[in-house]
Amino acid sequence: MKLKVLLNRHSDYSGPLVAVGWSTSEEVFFCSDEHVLLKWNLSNKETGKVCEFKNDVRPTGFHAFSKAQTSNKKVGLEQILLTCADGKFLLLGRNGRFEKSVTAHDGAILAGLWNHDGTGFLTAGQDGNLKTWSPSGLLRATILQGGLPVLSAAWGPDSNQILYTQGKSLIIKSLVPNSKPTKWKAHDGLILKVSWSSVNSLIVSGGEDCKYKIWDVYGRQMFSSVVQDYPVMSLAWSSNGEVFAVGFHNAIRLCDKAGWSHYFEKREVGSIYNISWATDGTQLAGACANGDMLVAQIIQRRVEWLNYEAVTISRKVIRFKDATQDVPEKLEFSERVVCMSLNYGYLIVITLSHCQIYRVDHLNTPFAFQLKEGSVSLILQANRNFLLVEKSVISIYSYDGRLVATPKWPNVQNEQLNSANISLSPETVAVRDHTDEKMIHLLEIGSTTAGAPLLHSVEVTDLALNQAGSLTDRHLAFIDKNRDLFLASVTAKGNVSYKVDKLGLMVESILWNSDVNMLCGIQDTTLTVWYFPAVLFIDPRLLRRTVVMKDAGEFGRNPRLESFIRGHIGVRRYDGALVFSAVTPFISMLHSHAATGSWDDALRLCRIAADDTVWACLATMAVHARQLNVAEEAYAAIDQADKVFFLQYVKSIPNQTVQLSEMTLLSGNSQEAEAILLQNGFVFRAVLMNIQIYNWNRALELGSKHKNHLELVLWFRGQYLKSFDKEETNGAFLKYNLEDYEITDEKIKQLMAIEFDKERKSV
Amino acid sequence: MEGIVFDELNKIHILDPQIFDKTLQLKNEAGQFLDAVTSFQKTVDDLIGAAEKLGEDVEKEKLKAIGSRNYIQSLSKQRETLQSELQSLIIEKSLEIERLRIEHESLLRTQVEQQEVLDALELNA
Repeated sequence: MKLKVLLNRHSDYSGPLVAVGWSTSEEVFFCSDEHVLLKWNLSNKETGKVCEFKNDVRPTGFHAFSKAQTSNKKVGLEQILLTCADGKFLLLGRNGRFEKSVTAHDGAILAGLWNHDGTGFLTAGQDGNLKTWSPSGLLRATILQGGLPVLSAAWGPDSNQILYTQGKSLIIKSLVPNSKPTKWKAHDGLILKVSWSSVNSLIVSGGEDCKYKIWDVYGRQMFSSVVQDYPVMSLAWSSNGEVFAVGFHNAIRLCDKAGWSHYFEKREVGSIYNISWATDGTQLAGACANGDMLVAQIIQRRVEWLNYEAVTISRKVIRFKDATQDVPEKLEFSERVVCMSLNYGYLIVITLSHCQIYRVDHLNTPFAFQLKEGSVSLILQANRNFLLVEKSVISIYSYDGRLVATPKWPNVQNEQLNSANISLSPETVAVRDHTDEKMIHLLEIGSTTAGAPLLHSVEVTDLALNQAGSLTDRHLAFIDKNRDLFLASVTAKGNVSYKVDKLGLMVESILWNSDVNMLCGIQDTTLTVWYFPAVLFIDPRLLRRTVVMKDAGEFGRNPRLESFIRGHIGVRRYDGALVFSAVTPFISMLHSHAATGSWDDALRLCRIAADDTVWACLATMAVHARQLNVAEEAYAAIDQADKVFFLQYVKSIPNQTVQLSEMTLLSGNSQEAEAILLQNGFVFRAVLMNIQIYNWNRALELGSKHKNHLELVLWFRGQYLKSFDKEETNGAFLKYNLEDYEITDEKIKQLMAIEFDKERKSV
Repeated sequence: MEGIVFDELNKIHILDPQIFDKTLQLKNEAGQFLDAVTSFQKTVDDLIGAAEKLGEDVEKEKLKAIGSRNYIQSLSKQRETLQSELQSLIIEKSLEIERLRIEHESLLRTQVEQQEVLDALELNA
């Protein structure tokens, strides 16, 4: 990723520029120290004057909020907040029309910012006060009074928290009254600028100690830069939260969200006082001390998939290369390329108002359609369809450009969606709720009624749907605030709730393979691959044996999972290097054999691989597919004698339903096993099963409900107590006087024989 | 009459012809002297003019020299900034190449791993 820097200046005004903001995606406003608001139109490269202020107005900054700022509709700024050196702020309407002037602080106002939804703004100044205001400029609250000057402030992602600086410390204060602020010492020098991303919730700060640092919302340091040549003058997160820009004296730097630097350029422009990103996150503007207007466009963005690679070599041209062929192709567009995605054999290019779909092996005939709003912030791809997140609408399209669905959820804010909180699979979408972060919405594409939301006990931070197989194989993996990884089945039948089980601890991030259902994750200090996560619902005791862990030490702090295609996991290291790590190819092959039902091939493969984890995977896959013979051999190969005996016992059961129930029991799900039996009228088996797992109360309940099995339960209970030489203490059993029943060993044996006989006859 | 004399051409002279001759001679010589002085004056003027021109030229050259010296000084400063710019670019590039080297290394490692699998399969086959 690189920046292409363009400079321009107004012929009449050469004084320092103090602030900058985007009016539309093609027009930038610059606020000059010479009492004037200037503009630069990028499409015709002309500079002009928006409005002039009175001579006593000495601006320190401005921030504009616009409600419906989309790139294909040219809606200008709605309201401009201009802060001044004499403690006043001015509210200006569109095109700089003067509306209101309010004295807010003693001394200069150093920060003035609209919140994310435009329902208010904050001002902070040299007097150490921080105040919030209504859009019309009426005082709402004084958040902070007195103390050190507040040099910079930022709104939290949900506009309910404010981050501000005080000397060398950063402080997060919630707007909820009487809440305790979080405060930490962040820099060795005065902190000059902060920025808080609403997408990834990360904070970046920079100060006079010539460093910039990244923090999470709890004040944990995620990254600290080396000492730069000059103090950090300005900072800004891009709107998609992927990168941020840092302005210095005569220099600008583009950094990844992990902190490492993408690009650095020195220009003789003086200090860059202020940086502002355009809403689509592809270009930024800077206000320079020598009066230069700076606009930088991101070029050389790169996406790759297998042997294909697409790079934006300029604003409107993509170079597409197939590594197996020599000549790269150039794709030219009439509009600026906003974002692109390459996966599953399709390249999706989003320009300002259109979406183009290219098949990698057939570039000549792309499908194209017009976007609804034209401000795509996220593209998600699955093998049959893809999802676009626009400003206020989420749409799912097929690869021939047909609109498949436009899912809607009540509490989902599109600006805050990123790849961690929304996930797409071929037929399902999962998204986390925004007001209740414990809730996950699941939707089957094409079905009109949304499924019941999945409710977790703790806030969910990351979620991902697996990609391979059909709806029955669909699982949702999610990580909660405690960094526990859970796996949930996506299909909830009727009123049966989702099956959810814990898969791992201390998991930082996860990624499903795009071809088979295996999952990789960064877990504590290891890179963990779950070869067959569904084992959790089939035979959870084998979970550990189907997992491979690799040391993640070489990745450093906070590694990021980039891709998991075929057998290769791409991990982005702390310093931005992409490190590939391979998983054994047998697993993919095993998955495909299992999917096609070629169990003989699967067995042969396992014998060649001679690897316990592969055998363990086969064992669970076979159990899942009720391939008892295959499962038996696989279990034998990994020394699970008890399972082998159990499978042999299951095989000896003549009745299919009972077999099914016993297999369910293998996965540890006794309730479901019992339900299967009861639904099919095998009460005797159900009672027996409960007795076998010492679930006496349930056995008695069933036994007393179906009178003829009561004696059976009481007899087994008696035997059990006798063998442990114990007195009856269970209240439920004490109700029954054994004297009332004539229970003899012969009678019970007879009873059981009759039942088994009945069962055999029913086949 | 004393004091009045006649010369050979019988012209009347108040002065003694000898003195007259001398006076004439003196007059001529004075005239010559005057010429000489005038020409000297001219030469001196020329000289002064030349010296002044030289002075101006020197002054000009001096300014030029100062200018060049400043320019050279600023040039070295410019070079320094350029150097620092290039230096920072080199650092950026070297970071980039280090990233790519690590990526390449990991791919080589994968290649070795895959070769091992292939070898093992060939052995079994």
